[in-house]
Amino acid sequence: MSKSVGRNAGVLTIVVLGILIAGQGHSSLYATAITVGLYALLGVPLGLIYGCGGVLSLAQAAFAAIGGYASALLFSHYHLPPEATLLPAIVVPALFAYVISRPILRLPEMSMALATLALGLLVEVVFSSSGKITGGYEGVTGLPPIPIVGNSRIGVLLLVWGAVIVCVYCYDAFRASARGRALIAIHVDRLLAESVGIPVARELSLLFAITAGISGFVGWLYAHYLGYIGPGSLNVHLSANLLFMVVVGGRKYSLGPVLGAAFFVFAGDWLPGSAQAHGMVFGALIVLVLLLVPEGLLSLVQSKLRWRRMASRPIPQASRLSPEQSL
Amino acid sequence: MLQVLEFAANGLALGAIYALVSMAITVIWATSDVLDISSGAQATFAGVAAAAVGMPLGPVAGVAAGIFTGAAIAGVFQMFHLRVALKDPVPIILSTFAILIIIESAILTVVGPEGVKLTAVVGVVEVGGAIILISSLVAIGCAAASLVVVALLLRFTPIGLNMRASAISEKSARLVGIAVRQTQTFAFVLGGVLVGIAGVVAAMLVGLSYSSPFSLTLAGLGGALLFGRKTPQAAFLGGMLIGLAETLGQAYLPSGWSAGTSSLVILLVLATSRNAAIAFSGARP
Repeated sequence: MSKSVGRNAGVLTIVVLGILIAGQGHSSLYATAITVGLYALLGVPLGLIYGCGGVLSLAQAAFAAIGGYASALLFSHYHLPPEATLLPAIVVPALFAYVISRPILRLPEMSMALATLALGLLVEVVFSSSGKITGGYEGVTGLPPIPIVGNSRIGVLLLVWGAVIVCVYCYDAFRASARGRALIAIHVDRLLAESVGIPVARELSLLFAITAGISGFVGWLYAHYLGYIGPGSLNVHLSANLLFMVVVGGRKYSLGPVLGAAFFVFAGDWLPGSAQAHGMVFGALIVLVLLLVPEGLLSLVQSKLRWRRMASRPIPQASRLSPEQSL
Repeated sequence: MLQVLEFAANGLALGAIYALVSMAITVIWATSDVLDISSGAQATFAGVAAAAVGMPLGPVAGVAAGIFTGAAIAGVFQMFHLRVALKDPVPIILSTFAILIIIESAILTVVGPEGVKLTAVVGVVEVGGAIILISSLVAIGCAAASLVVVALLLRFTPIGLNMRASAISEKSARLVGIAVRQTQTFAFVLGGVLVGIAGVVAAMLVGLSYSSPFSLTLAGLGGALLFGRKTPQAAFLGGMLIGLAETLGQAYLPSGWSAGTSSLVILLVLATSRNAAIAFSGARP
């Protein structure tokens, strides 16, 4: 396994410790960090299947909504506590994703994006139109808080960011493994990957289901953190924003979606003007970033680091080179 | 029976709006390989401009607004091509999504949350006992006339020939001396004209608000996909069918379910089509 596998998770751990210390003076920082963490937790798996596998999914928020609703409905109809609803919140979207993955994942990138977008909208329509079961447009309210951490912001922050760090570590470990390389091979040439014995359909379906399961976990966290879930909470606009986060941050890096999530949340907070006008500045900002840094913001940092490493490397003197080296 | 006829007329009128957006998406997609997510936003912008100016110059202002946004998106597209070799179409498609956000926000800021409507044609006609709005007939007529003009343009004019050549193969078109970039820019402007007309018709028929862009884009995409994205004729038929299905769904399905019509069509077509992998490649090497 590559030595760099734990490095990104380590960097993230230091950042979280920094947030914990900085938040002592500014308690609103914890709430912002939790929002960034939830987006990052949805974005990192999307970054893996899109950046490495070429699976362009716009249904991540829909899977999170399925997880959140699974937990909320089990609580409201059968009075199950959140501890008992955690497993269904992960398994139901994962199974759903696995079942639908075969016809969808055979499609090329853009068609796949369209199909998953349509799927996300259908899920939204189902939740908003099944009033008697799901509460319709009003959603489900009065959900109990997350077990153990309760309403403690620091507790929720640690839980969310702990999950993000685990996700980033797993991303790097998976990418360095044989299966990760197989996924990259699938992205580069699907037919060639099949010809060398990689079970393309099974690998993609499994990964799609796992990412849906993680999204379901985020839905569970979201529903019990806010005590509410509705059809507009985790909608298709969020799915599109998640894709923005992945691309803006850097889809080829495990920390890219985390940076993208931070960029989105902080840009939203710091933009001038009324909230209605934010979309104009924000949209223009996205176009600029996509235009100027198509590989994502993290690629700027990476290229700068690479440049520094090259600059610090001593240039070998010609007199010290062996005959083979000089050749 | 009369009720079904009236629903069908309303459905076809709604379908006319979708057909125009579908044709715009198809023309741009086929020529430049860009899936323009902002089409619905451009149509809404055009409709709002038409309603703001009012009659009799409203429709002209609407189409001019469509041309303006089409040209602006063509400019963004060209900038992407200038900066990077566009191997990955995702950044530019995401840019069109960002443009949709910009237009949505601009409409919300300037117009507010309430919608706008253009009062252009009033009155009804009786066809076989069924009462049909004249504005519905105008909408269907506008879409049909636009289809004829676009089909003739593609079939009989030099720029149409260039567009068809670029759609078949960008590389081959360039090799035989076609100015592909200019042709693609023209496709965006032509798309702007079509969504401009769609916006004017939508403002006249159903009214538009800041929340209209996404639903218009989605219905347009559904129409473009339904019979394949090869020709404007197929897009026209697809859009008409989506409008018809949505209206009949509003009439006969429980409240709220008809909103999923376009999504259901897109999902079913893509998931079941045997040729989907070939027909909707969405990336030009």
